Amino acid sequence: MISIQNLSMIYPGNVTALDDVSLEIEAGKFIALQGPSGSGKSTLLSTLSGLVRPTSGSVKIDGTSLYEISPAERSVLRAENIGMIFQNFHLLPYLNVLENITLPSVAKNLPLDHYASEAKSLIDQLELGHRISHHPAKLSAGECQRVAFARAIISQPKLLLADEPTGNLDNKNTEILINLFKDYAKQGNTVIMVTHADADANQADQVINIADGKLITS
Amino acid sequence: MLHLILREIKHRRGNFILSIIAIALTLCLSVYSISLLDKFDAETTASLQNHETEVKQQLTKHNTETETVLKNLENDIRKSMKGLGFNVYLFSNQEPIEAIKERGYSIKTLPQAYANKLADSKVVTINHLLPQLARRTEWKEQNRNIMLIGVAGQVPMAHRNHMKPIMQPLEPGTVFLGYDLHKPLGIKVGDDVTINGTSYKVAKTYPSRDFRDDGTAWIHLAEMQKLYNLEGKISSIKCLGCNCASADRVGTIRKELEAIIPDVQIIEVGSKALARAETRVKTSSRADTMRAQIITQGNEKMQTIQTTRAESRKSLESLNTFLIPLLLIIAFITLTVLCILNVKHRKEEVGILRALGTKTSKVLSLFLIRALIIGVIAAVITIIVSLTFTKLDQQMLIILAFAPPLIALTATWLPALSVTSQQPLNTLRHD
Repeated sequence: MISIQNLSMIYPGNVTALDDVSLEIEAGKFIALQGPSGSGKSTLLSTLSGLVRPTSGSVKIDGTSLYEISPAERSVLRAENIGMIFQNFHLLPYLNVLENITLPSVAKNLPLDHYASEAKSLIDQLELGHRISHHPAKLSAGECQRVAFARAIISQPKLLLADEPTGNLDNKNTEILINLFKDYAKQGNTVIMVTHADADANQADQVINIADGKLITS
Repeated sequence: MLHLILREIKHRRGNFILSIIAIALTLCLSVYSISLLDKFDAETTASLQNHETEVKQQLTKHNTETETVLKNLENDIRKSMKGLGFNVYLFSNQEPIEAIKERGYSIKTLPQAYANKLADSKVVTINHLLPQLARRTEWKEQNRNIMLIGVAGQVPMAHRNHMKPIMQPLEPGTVFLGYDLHKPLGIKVGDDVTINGTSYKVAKTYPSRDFRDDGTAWIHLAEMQKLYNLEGKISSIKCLGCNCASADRVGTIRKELEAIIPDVQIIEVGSKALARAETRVKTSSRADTMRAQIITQGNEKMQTIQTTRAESRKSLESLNTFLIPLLLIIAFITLTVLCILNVKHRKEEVGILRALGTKTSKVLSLFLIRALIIGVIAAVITIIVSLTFTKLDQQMLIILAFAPPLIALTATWLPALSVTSQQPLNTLRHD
């Protein structure tokens, strides 16, 4: 499903973040990207999301080369096929739980409440029913990340990218989130998670180690 | 999307309200400043119109008064002239006319025969010839100065049909007394009075007429001539009811008399009609002067008002030329700063939306629609507030309706564009 060929990323100042990385990831897998800080794992995740154009190489998702299409087409592809989760949750402070979860509808030019029924169902599954009309400022870190997870999968993207999603969570919430990833992958979707933690990485179907911009184990 | 914008506005309402205030306050101040100029212009026009009306009223009043006075005079003159014709005196030309006028009679004499000569001639311009001898004298018995005039009654005109004498003939031994001579002394018709040793019977007492007649006593001409040893002499011939239609009537009479009695000079008596005619001319002339004065003063005052107000307007205009652009620049800068702050706070939001697959143009439109809402609300507030202190014409309404959204969009455009064109991951990723 995902094909990465000879991907290199050199930041200004000649800082090499990715060095000729090639990788094939099958659909329906829960992948952990592991490596020390500055190893290039987040850069790899960003290039997979289509948000950062690599210096060279290609990224294909279901045969579509991400960087050979226009930025607008890339945005559509991202809205349709890619969900993202961040360490700091990045929820909109002025929207409540339900609205934050349905936010991806805006990217698809749909009304904000387009995914409302799916969102409510997810909210129940994630045990956030009592928080449905609360704003992020009133939520715990675990609750925030569950909302971020719900937002990421509300439009059922085939690829879920998570950048250090457990970095701000306690063990209990980490476990909940990892299980959610596993379940999502079991539904035939691909989940790629960047993590420092071995315990988290070990829960994945496959662990990819990266150091100095290069893959160590595949 | 509007839902998202409204939620953000509610969340950052302080920034939103301040943005509206920045535009509305500035535009209201600008409109107020312009309205002061309009108000000033209206006051100037009103002041000039008031002054013009005032001058017109003064002129109308003056014209009405003048017309009334002139009309009354005209009527008086017409009545007087109709009844009297006009009177002339024939004096000897041996004495300057000014001396005669000053004294009231001439000390030079004419032959009494001149009256008969005139009466026998075919002169047509004069009527009712009254030869008389006048002298001012002391009425010793009463210890006062009087005018004593000897009159002989009217000399009949030979070539005319018999005319009714214009005055009552005076018999020898009788006297007619003017008002000041009989009234204070209680003298009545029929009484005897003694003037400088000669006794006369009072045949007539006159009511008050004019100051000269009031101090005059009339006796028979022959007795007067005898008193002064001037037999056959007279001091003047009074010609009453002359009827010359010419404008230079005295000149016309002189021309006719020259051939008959060349050594006389003619004085037109200051009749009431003449005096009134003179008054009429003077009144008319004074009225003209007054009218000109009112107009000149009015124009001068108007000029002063115009000059003073033009200077004040220029100052006000200069202030507006400086103040309005300054206010607009301040509004624009304030709004830009507020917009930069808003964009800075929403940097993360832009990153999230981009990461979720929202197109750059759509993210940009979130900022621009917000700016448009700010502009429209500011426009409504500006128009409502402005209407409380001034009237807005169509052009001003259009400016006030479109300027705030335009200012808000312009101030938002660059900051919003700068953040939406940034790499969203700069705000999202942690490596």
